[in-house]
Amino acid sequence: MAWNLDSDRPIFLQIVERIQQDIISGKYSPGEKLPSVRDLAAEAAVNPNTMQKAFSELERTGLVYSVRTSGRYITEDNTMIEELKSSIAKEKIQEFLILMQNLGYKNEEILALMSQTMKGAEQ
Amino acid sequence: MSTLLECKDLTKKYGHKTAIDHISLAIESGHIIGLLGPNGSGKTTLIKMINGLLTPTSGTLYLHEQPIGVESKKHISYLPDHTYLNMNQRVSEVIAFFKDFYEDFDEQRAYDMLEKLHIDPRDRLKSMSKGTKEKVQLILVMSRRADLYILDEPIAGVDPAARDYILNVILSNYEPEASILISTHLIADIENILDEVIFIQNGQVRLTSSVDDIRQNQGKSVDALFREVFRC
Amino acid sequence: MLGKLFKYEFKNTAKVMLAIYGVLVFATLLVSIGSSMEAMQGVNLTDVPPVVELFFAASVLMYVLSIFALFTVSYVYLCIHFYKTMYSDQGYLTHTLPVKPVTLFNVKLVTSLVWMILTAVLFALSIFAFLIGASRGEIFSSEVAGRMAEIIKYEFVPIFGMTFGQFLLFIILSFIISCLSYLLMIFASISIGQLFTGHKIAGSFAAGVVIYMVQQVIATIVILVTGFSTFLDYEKIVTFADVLFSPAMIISMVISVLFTVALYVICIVMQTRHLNLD
Repeated sequence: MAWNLDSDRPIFLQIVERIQQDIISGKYSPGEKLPSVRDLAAEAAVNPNTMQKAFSELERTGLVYSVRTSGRYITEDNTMIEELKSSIAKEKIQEFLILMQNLGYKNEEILALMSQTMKGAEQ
Repeated sequence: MSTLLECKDLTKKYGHKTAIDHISLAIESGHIIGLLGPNGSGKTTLIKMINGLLTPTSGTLYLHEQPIGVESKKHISYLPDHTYLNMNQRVSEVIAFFKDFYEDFDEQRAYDMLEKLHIDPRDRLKSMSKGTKEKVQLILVMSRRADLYILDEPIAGVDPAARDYILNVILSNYEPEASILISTHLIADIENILDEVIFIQNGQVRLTSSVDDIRQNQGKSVDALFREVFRC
Repeated sequence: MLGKLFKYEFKNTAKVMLAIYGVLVFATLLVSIGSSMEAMQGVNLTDVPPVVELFFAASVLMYVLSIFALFTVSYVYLCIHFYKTMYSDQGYLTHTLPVKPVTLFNVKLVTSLVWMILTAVLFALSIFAFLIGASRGEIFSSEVAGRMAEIIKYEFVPIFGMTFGQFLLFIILSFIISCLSYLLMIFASISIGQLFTGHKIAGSFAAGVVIYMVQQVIATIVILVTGFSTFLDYEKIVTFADVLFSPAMIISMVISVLFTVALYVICIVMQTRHLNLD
């Protein structure tokens, strides 16, 4: 199944985000081997060069490391994954806040609305 | 990355009508390139000249720094925009034919792909549906280990499931050092697999760019840019 | 590569050609049986039963038709095959094979020529079979064989002006050249016709007409210039060879050979310099 990708942002960035997401969510566990560029490119239905570029970006940030000849692995550094997780969380919250502020809510109102919604969801 | 294909000042005229108008291009190895343009823009004419099926009116065309000829044909795998096989033949006979003439043909790969599609190699081409024939041709073309694959409108007129299959065949058979030139006017469908695009119109190159550059710098998809450039 | 090209060329044309030959073999068998029955009846001097007469007439008719078909259909088929594999959709595959265009063309030409020679050989064998039937096998008798040998040995040279072997060689050579010129005539027309964008078949017909006209005009001019006198010089004509090798005949032979070569060159130039598959 081809991945759902936005059409107006560079594809490699979206692939990086997607793999980060998969690491955080636990789809790939720390130390696990990643599929090959070729296989993952075929799965995502993207150009292998683009997949390669995304992998290089992930390697640059340290989230993925490559072992010569045997392939690429997810980092075993759990704190790094946690840091990534919280930074993405912050980013998402920021986006959400801006959205709500655009609707005219103040921060306290947003907080109240959120706890209310969460309670509703629990019941 | 070395230059795979180079054309300089390439021109093709039919009588007084100019189909290709002084095009100069270079294609590097290791890329998937979209040759994009509206109908009648000269895509197929350019492709036929690269394959030696049409003689250019003027200009030069080189693959691996050699003019188009026997050597270039050994290294280019070409999928025309229509069926081109002898329809009386069985699939297995066509495979034997390809194996005999193309040193880079991987027979096993062809049979594996046929099996996945549940196509019986003993079937004759004429007994198959149009879509199946097209898939068989794509399988033959992609079973070669060529330096340059040229696919003329590989996804025109196929349903979305077949399109996904075709893209998958292309991606899973693509060797990193090879290049693929895909001509199409259905850009949205294939833009994720391209890394470069060439826009052509009225036989001239309007734009060459990497897909990421278009998205990064213009904040829009290749498809959106195409619609903008070729707005009627 | 050459071997493979020939292999596929013969394989692809064999089905139709062998079917045509099958019809001829069948017709030959029929007419041989029919004529031997007829011959038997003749010897017995009895009335020929109408059934035998009818069978004989039908078999002769079929025989004549199949001989006609043998030559026409195989010639037309070989020309269509050339067009289909070179300039129709299949031409895309043919011309993207890693083979020199000249080689490609030569293989097609030689294959067609071989089929035509085979056709002629089969035709000769068929006539022979017919004669065996008609003579009730007497053609094999020592009397007939002896007479044949005599003719070949003593009477051939005075009549034909050359030995039997020379005559045979001459016939074979001129047959091959005329086959080549017939094939090349159509191949060249088709090769020129493909230059016409969108009207390839109409273009081929036009090219064929033009080639034929040019051929006739040049031949006529040459004959006029060299003069008819050589034809009319009866005193010099003693044997068949004197006619065959009279200056006018030699000139016309040379012209037809030159024409065949020119047609071949046209085909090659079209293949290598002006390929136009659109």
